[in-house]
Amino acid sequence: MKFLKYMALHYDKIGHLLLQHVRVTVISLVLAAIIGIPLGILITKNEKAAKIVLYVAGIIQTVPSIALFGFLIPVLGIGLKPAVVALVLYGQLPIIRNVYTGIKTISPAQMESARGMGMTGFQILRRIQIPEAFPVILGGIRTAAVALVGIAAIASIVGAGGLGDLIFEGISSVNSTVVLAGAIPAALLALAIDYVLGVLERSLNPMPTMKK
Amino acid sequence: MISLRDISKKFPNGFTAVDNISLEIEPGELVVLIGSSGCGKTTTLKMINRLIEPSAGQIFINGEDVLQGDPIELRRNIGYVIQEIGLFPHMTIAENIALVPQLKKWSKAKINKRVNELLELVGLDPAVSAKKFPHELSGGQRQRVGVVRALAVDPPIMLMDEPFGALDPITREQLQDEFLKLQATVKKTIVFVTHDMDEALKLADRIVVMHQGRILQCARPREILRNPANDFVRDFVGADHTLKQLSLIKVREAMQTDISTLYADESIAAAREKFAQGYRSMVVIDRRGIVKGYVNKVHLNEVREGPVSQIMRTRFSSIGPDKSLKEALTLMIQRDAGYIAVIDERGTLLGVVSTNSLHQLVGEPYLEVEGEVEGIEIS
Ligand SMILES: Nc1ncnc2c1ncn2[C@@H]1O[C@H](COP(=O)(O)OP(=O)(O)OP(=O)(O)O)[C@@H](O)[C@H]1O
Ligand SMILES: [Mg+2]
Repeated sequence: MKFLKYMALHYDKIGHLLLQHVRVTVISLVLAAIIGIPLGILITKNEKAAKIVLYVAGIIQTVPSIALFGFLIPVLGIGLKPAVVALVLYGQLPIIRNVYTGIKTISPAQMESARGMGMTGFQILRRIQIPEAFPVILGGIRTAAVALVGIAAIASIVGAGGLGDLIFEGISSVNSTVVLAGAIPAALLALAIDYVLGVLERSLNPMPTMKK
Repeated sequence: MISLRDISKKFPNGFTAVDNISLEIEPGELVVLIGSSGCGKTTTLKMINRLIEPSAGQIFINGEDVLQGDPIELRRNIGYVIQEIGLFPHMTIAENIALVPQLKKWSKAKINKRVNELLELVGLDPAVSAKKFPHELSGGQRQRVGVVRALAVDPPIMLMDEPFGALDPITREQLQDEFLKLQATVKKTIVFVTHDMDEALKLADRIVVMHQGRILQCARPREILRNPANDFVRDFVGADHTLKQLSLIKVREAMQTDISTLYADESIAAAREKFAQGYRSMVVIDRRGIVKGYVNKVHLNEVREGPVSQIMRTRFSSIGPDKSLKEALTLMIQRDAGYIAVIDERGTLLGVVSTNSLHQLVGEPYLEVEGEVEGIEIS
């Protein structure tokens, strides 16, 4: 009850923070995809590079976000910049890994007949590999998106704004209502993004009758 | 048409998979590469469309040095079919077939027309199949699509690597038959890999037997069976090569045509006279030449007077002239018959095939029907 009352009283502030949250998440996700997808494609051509890149992306994933923000402040200061950089880094592993496995799991027979019929490397990428790996790639982006919503809440400590502001405010004033006012919209946001991307994934699946 | 000259392939790991082979393939010829697993068949095939680059030697197609040209352009003019087919699961059947025409920038209308034409060619209804995805087809249907996809831009050359290897025996035979019919109309120059000797014998104009990266023998199927170049080829052909030969010879070529017959309406007395020349069994026909049955010498005593039709046996075995001798023999064994009548579609007697004619074959690999054989002896 107290929570709903708080929400009703502060809906414009919460709405504003929610938009900030969406903004930092979406900017980061788009950048993460712009970097991660080509990287994932590139490393399918070289096993050694693939090992290294996936390993590094895995390491980044294990660094606690607070620590990463700590590292970034001296370099990038505070605000949106360090937040986006951190989120882009965290988004890399699921995106790169899914692009890589999505393309790598295409059967050798398909690759052989594609080459055998005279497709160039780029044509194979555009017409076979990307379309066929598309559901898996989108799955990676979806995983990244959900994770980034959560991490974006913590990014409020570097001054990136978002629902994390409420959560931290609630923690420092020992007011669980305020914590919830930040946490619940954040959780709903994660669910909503997951749902939308899920629908997109299914509707864009090039094999409509073979839903995975 | 295709000319391999002193081609070798040594892989980066130092293994020589193909060791200095040369091969001339004529336009419209179907050459089958055969040999045990790992002998270099696939490697040889893939060097022709440069999926594998030869480490030495030259390849010419229509006199042009293939290794100097653009591999992409080369491959677009060579159909390629593999055992695993490699249809793209995210594309419909029509889209799969349309790929190479699209790469060649054909117009939409032309592509659509071609796709329908190709599907019909292999007995798939375009209205039903075109929009399906590969996983919605049976294995045999998928392989048919694999074949017509390779035929899409009507390339003069087809490379086929065990295309029917993964199918069940019945479907395989069916596809082989269809494929032979198709080849009779399209007349492609085909290099076909298999390790099934029966398939090779059935399809090949010429068989190339390979072993450890070399060519042991390159000859017409009958020649391979009759004169294997060495023990390896003999073993590879198999102990049943005599029987295999039978599958290559048509009844028409082996049947005896110069035979005595009885008419159903002639008298038993007249029949007895004919039998006196030493025959033990004769085919009975009517005045139009249609087979009605047969009479054995022992039947003559059952009835003394009247027409032959009274004593003839009407359950007789027959076979068409375009069947193989193997089928004829199978029939003879099944029916426990010493000979069978060869008839056309209307039932007219063309000749007979007997165990005698088969015996002659075993001794004299390729058959010459002896003129003096008259009538049939059943031993
Ligand atoms: N990339 C490669 N590197 C090293 N060796 C290879 C390579 N590809 C093939 N080989 C070897 O070359 C030999 C010939 O291979 P190939 O695929 O031509 O055999 P094949 O006659 O087609 O056999 P199968 O009937 O089993 O398909 C084999 O011993 C194989 O192990
Ligand atoms: Mg092979």
